[in-house]
Amino acid sequence: MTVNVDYESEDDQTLVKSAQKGDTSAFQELVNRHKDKIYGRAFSMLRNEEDALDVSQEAWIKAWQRLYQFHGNASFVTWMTRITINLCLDFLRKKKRRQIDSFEQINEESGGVERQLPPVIVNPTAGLERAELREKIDLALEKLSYEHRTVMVLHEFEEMEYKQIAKHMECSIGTVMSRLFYARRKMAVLLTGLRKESSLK
Amino acid sequence: MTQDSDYIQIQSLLDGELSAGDADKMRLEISENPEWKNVLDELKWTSEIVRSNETCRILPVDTEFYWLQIARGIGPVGIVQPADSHKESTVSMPLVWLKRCLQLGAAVLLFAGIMMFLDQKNEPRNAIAFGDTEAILNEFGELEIPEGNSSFLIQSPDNEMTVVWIDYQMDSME
Repeated sequence: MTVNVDYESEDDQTLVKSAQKGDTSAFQELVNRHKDKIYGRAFSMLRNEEDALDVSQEAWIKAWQRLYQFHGNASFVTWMTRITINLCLDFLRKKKRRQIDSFEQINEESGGVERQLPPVIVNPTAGLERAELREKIDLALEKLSYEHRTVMVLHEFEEMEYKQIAKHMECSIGTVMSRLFYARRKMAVLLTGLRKESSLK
Repeated sequence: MTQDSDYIQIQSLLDGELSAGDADKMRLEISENPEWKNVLDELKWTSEIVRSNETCRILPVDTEFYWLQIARGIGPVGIVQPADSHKESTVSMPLVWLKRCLQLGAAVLLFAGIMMFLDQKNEPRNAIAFGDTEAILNEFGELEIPEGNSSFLIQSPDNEMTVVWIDYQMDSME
C-alpha cells in the first residue's frame, strides 16, 4: 500500500531527512520551495539568465549528492545558497581565465576611475518608486566587474564577514576590503542620478 | 592628505569589522573631519539601498522543466523510491512470480494433456501377435475356424472390419 505524503505541509527539516533517505519527491518539494531564491542568487552573481539557470540546477544536483553532509547546523536554504555561491565563483573563475583582462579589472587594485571622485553627499530615496529603484540598482550592479559584484553580493545580501568572503573568493581580507570599498564607490557614482532625484523630492 | 586606506578603515567601522578601541578612535576622527563624514554617509547609503532592494527573481522557466533537468542530473540514484513504495514493490514481487509459475504450470499441464490424448488415439488398441488366437478372440470377439480347414473368419463390428483367411491346400487344388 502506498502512503500519500503531503510534502507541501512538511517543513524543510523533515523534507531534508526524507530526501537523505532517497525520497526524490521530498527533494523536489525543496526545489519547488527555494528555486527562486537559488536562481536569484546565481543571477545576482552571474548577471546572465542562462548561466544562472545552469548553475542553479547544478547546485541542486550537488546538494542532492551531498545531502548526507547536511546536519542542520544552518538552515537548508543557507546551506543551498553557499553551494550556489561556490559554484558561481567557480564558474566566474573559469570564465575569467578565458577572457582578456578588462580595463576595469586592471584598475581594480589601484581603485579605478572612481578613486579620483570626491565623496558624494547622500540623501534618502523615500519618494522613488520601488520597482524603478530596483531596476536602477540592478543595472548598476550589472556594470560592476565580477569581483566587485561578488564581494558586494556576499557582503550585502549574504551578510558575510570579510573573513568569510576572503575564504570563498580565495583572496586576502585586505583584497576583500579594497574590492568592497571600490564596489560601493562605483555604485554610488552609478546611482548619482538616483541620489539627486531623491534629494529633490 | 586622505588616503584610500583611511576610507577603507571608515568602511570597516561601518561593517563592524573594527575592534572596540579602533572603532571609538575612528568615530572621534570622523566627527572632526567633514570629508570622512561624507565618505561614511555615502558608504552607508550605498549599502542600505542595495540591501533593501535586493531583487526577488522568479525562475524564468517552467518549474517542471527545471526539475526534470535536475532529476536527469541526479541520475539512477535519484530514482530511489520512497520507503513505502519500495516496501510495496518487495511485497508484490513474490505474487508476480507465483502468478507466472502458475501460468507456466497450466500451460505445461495442458500440453501434456493434449499429447496424452493424441498418443492414446494413435496407439493400436492392442498389439496382437499374428497367430495368437486367444488374443484375437479377446479383442475381436468372433472367430470362426471351419473344421478340417486352416481357413478362418474374423468379424469385428467395433472396427467395422471383417477378415477372411482361406488356406487352400495345394493337394486339394490339384
